[in-house]
Amino acid sequence: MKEVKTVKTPHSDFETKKLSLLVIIVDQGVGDLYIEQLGTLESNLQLKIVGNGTASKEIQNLLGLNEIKKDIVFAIIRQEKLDQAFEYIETRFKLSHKHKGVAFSVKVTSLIGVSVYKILSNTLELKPNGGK
Amino acid sequence: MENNNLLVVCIINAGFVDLVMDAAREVGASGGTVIHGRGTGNKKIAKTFGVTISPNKEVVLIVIDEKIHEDVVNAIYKKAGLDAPSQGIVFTLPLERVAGLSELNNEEESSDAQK
Repeated sequence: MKEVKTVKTPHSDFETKKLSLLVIIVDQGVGDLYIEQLGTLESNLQLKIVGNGTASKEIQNLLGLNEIKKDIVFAIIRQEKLDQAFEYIETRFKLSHKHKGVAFSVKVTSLIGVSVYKILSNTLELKPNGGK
Repeated sequence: MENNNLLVVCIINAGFVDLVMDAAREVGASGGTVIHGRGTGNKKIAKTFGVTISPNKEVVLIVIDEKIHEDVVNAIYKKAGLDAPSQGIVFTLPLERVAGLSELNNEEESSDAQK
């Protein structure tokens, strides 16, 4: 059987913090509030796009929703900041039906470019890993 | 914290969102969000396989429980898969954390817990 060799890249000699892609889907016009808040949580990249909701008429009436246009916010954030981000999101979702939405996060499994990593993780200098 | 939700991503030709949502709702999914996009399919491949690729695409995002993911993916693919006019591609992504799923789902969960 062919032996599989693992190649150690120079970047693995440094301590790295894990990142996540946070997606927030809310009514149109509300997305900017989340972008502002994510900025305070050291997230340096946010993207807002407009989409459409697909809730059926019955559910829309039941929940009192009448806005079908949605703001979809994509943000890259450090995993250690996710607790704070979700705390804020859940508090806002509970405020009123207008602020109701869905948020979820997906783990970022790979990334290339030291500068890109530094920007996305809001890290100025990479610390050595101590040979681990 | 353990999370049993998945994100279903469905890329289809524009105008077939209802087909996807009806199929997903039939097997227990709640709501979804649609993003408009533009396909960049290879023209050579389209010629080889004798199909026309419509550049106008829609991406449907649906958050579902892991338990129903096979039913949802199969139902969508049956009604809106590559062989259908919608020419859909479906895949799922594991979600780390989720907030704000519909109140209806929570009510169902609490009634299940009471049983």
